[in-house]
Amino acid sequence: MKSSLQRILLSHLFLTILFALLLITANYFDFEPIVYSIASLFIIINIYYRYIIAKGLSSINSITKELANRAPNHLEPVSIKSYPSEIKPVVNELNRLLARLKEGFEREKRFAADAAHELRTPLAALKVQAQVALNTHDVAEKDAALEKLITSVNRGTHIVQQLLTMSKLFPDVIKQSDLEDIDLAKIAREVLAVHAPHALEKKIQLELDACHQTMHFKGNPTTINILINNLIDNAIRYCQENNEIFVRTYEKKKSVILEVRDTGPGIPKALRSRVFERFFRVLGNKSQGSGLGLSIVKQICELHNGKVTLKAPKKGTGVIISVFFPCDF
Amino acid sequence: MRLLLVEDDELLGDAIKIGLSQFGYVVDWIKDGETARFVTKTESFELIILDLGLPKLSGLQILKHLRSSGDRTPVIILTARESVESRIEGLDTGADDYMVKPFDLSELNARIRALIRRSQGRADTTFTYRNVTIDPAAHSVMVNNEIINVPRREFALLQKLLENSGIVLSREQLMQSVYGWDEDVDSNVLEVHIHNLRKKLNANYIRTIRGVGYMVEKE
Repeated sequence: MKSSLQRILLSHLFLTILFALLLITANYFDFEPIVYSIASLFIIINIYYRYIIAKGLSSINSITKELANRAPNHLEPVSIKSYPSEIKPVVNELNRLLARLKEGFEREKRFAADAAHELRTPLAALKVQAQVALNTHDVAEKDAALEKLITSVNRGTHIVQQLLTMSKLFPDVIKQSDLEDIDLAKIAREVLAVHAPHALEKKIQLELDACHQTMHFKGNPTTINILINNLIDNAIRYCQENNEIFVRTYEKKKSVILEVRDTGPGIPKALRSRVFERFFRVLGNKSQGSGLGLSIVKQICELHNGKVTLKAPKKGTGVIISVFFPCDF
Repeated sequence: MRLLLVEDDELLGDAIKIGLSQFGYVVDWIKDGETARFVTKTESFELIILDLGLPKLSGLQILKHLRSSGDRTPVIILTARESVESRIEGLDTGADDYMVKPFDLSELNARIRALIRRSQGRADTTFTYRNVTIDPAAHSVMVNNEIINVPRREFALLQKLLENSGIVLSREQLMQSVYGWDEDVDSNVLEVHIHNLRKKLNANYIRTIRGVGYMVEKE
């Protein structure tokens, strides 16, 4: 398929030959000198045009060659030497894409390194527990060690699952095709139903107060399910016996809001801003979280152009987390 | 042998405590940095196993405080940070050894033995007093080159006494090196152990200092 530049070149070539012929025939038929000058001028201009176009094409060629010779992990911008302004926008956009790709790859690398680091301690527990089981001949002691080993495996599994969830959230834009009308109360009800038995076991009261949703917002139901799941899971994990967890959905000022309020031990003020960081755990409590729950919540929230806040209640202890979903998303 | 374990992870800390107890150590387990710093000031341990990522006060900070106050207890760092820079930092801050998680429990045990040996100024892995030779690695006791059976606690007690020959050790010190804080024991269990040791080893060199404690005569 011929490009437009090549077409111009060909047509100019054709016209140039035409005028050259005209010049020759003009010579034969003794035309006015002015015809000679015009024809010559035309031919010179054409040659000049061909030179410019050829130069433009060659710079495209050199960019093409540079890109073709790149190693797959070379994501540095294409260098801007001299090329025509028509190509500049393309090269600029290409460089921006490369920059985004590079940032994406680096984030994945960091994530993988963080994940590996996080798994070291659970794996260490596994190894030591296995060796403890091997080092004893007492059957009761062996069994106790093996049971703890299974607990450790469960913890490691939980961490791995959270890691996978996080990694899937990485292309941080939801495709239009994955967006649906969200009935927040319905998803909340489903998630709470799943967690109710566990809450009951831990003697934690779990309640939902869902208002009828009049405002519409578009979102991705799968990720919103994961968001609510992580909030409830977190609350149950860190609450103790006889604590309460109240979940509420309501509307306010162009947002649909999900609120999860618990009467558990709460989070110290100094640490409240840090709990959304990846792998951050409020150390010193006994539960075996992955440190990723709230950062997953934050990520999904941002995917929906929303925001999430964390406060302490005015009276008593506990945590109030509110997720705001804007209705114009 | 009384060890201090500073590790905030529940599952791992529990596993290490049980694992090292199986080898005959008394392990006191602290889960946060501040308590650890307090405890190292008020109690004495043969060795400290220190995790770096701790709540309230980091492992490195504890180590700094320890060394700057002149404490020479051997320290093994146990951590998930495996980069060379971290290792260098840990060792230069005053640690004697650096192990990365996950690790082998038996290897940890061997390194503990090596550091305790060194801190007692010994290079020999077995310890001999008169006609008794104890081998901490094998947990064996030989009297006149014959192996005799000594249960775990008595071994710990014997080791402590022999390594401190010529020094009076109080009942409290001896109890602490054989039983952990959370172990509920009869008050006369120490006397029972001493009695058994004296009988088995024909050890009239284990002296009772009434009202104070026990001592092994200097060689």
